Amino acid sequence: MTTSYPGRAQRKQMPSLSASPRARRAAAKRRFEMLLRMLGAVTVLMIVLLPLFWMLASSFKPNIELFQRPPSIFTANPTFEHYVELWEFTSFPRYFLNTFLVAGISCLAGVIISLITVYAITRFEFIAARVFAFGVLIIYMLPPILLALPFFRIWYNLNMLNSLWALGITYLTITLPFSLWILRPYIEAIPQALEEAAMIDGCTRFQAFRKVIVPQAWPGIVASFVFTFVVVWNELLYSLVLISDEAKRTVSLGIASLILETSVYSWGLVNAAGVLATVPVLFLFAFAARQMVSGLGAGAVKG
Amino acid sequence: MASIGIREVWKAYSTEPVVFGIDFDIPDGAFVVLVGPSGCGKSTLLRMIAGLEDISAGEILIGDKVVNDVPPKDRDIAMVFQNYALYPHLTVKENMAFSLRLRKERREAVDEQVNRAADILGLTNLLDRYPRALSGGQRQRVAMGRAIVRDASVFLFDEPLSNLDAKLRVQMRTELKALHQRLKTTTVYVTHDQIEAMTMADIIVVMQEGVIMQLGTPLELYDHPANRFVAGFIGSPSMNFFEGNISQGLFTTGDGRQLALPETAAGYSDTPVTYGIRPEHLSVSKDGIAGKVLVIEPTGSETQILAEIDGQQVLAVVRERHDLQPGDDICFTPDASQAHLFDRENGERI
Ligand SMILES: Nc1ncnc2c1ncn2[C@@H]1O[C@H](COP(=O)(O)OP(=O)(O)O)[C@@H](O)[C@H]1O
Ligand SMILES: [Mg+2]
Repeated sequence: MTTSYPGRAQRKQMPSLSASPRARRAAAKRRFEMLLRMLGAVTVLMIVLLPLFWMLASSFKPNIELFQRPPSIFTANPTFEHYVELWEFTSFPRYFLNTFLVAGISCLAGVIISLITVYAITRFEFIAARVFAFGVLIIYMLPPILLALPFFRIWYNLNMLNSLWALGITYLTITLPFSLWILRPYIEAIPQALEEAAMIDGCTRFQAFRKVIVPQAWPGIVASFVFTFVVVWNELLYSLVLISDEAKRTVSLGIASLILETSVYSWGLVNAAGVLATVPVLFLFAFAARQMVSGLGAGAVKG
Repeated sequence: MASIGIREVWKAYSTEPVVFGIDFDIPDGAFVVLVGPSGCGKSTLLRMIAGLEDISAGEILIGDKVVNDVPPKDRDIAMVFQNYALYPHLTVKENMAFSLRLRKERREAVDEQVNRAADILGLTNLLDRYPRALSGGQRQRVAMGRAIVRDASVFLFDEPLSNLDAKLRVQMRTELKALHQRLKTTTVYVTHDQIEAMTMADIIVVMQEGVIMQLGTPLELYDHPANRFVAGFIGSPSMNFFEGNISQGLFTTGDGRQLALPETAAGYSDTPVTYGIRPEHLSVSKDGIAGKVLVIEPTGSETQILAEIDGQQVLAVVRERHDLQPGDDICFTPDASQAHLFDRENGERI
């Protein structure tokens, strides 16, 4: 039973692995499946991207080509005239500003209020918490068309129709529930011990919230801001109902008006406005993606 | 550094008390271990000292100051949590510097203190890593680093080693003890592991169901357990117990076996008692209490012999080597002077 052992661990050479026919067949199958999946993805992308592409291409076409049959895909004479016209001869710059303000304020307020609310719900047990969370969900499920008329009455009575503040506050009914539901799992996942550690390290509860909870929930905060921003950015119904003053329009209302209020459709303008309205959203998504993939949060506590 | 006073402290969740008027003092610089089975209220007591739980009744003093209404940040304490609670979004260095930064200390002073702590704990190479890129033992060290950079007057530990593997646990135990000898900071350490308590403590507080069962040095508890609970809880492998009566100067089991009594039993007769004897105080002999060997476990320096006597398992630890096989007949003789007797009604030591 005496075998000889090495004095220290020695690594042997690993024998070279030659692929068996079975392994090769499996690999071929995997490649085929990959191909199918790629095909599926490309199809979906085409369906999704085609309108966007069409809008982009059309926004650079001179007017004649816009109405040409059959339509051309790419124009031979690209032009910026629609963008120039949009910028110089319409109120769109103003609409963009309006929308940024309204969306920015209602989303920021939505995120901040829901952050604090979720924190309270998850950290301090009180009976209202569940009821509250459930109520928010119910409100979120009510279709905006149901709320549009009551809101109209409310702002009318307050003499605040045509107010961007009123519009922003109305949008809170969209942004708040949305943020609440995105943020809740993020905050719940943060171990209480982290805050306690921070409080022992010298933080007040508020400092612990700011220095520990907020960074931990950051991906959720960014996600809820971005998603609500996009929803509000695209929102048409409330602005249609609450805003009639031309100078207070939002971008979506502006685009709709371009179509609704002119007898000759200025497709060039509509397309250019559409492209410009898409750009901030794209930037926001790019920003969000970078903020969110950083994968913070792992390793807070073991296990 | 500071002493800690715990005066008749109660804790109730809603109306259910879980800590029942606990009362003891921790001298300045002592290493006190709270030990007891899971759920006995150790963490609750520790968290009340930390200020993370309200005190339902009684007073806690740190130094000479009643801290009942002092928030955790002003108690000058540092705490290490069971699952470390490192800030995941901060590097090791930032984790350790967190409390110093909060106090707005100068950057050089912060760096110096962090580097010193990192040096003591062997973390110097890991300062720029994030907690997620650390092993369990390294995280544990960072958590300790975060505590020691602060020069707090009290250290609190809540089962800091229970997430480590056995080998690392033993190693960290020694390091923690060495650290305490170096810093001499008053320490309250919670564990459910009596070996940790025995090896690390200056003073052990054994708790059960929210009550202190005994307080003393490790060897006091080992040699003179105040009750049956402590006798069974402290010591590994644990004490053997026999139920029976004192009659005519001898201990008689229900099965009629008779054992010699220690001197403490003088003056008792016809009393129902529990007879406790530690495994190392049983020796293998020609006659005595007879049974059958169940398992033999040699550890090298000594041998554990598990035998069955009257349907009860009895463990002996002997240093000499016997040629025994499972199933063999065996006789044990207890060292009567080392036997412990407990009242069978209330578990108190006789
Ligand atoms: N937040 C709480 N609410 C209600 N009961 C609690 C709470 N925290 C702890 N307890 C109860 O208090 C008792 C002591 O808990 P704890 O101090 O954590 O025990 P351990 O000694 O294992 O650390 C347990 O019975 C536990 O169920
Ligand atoms: Mg505990």
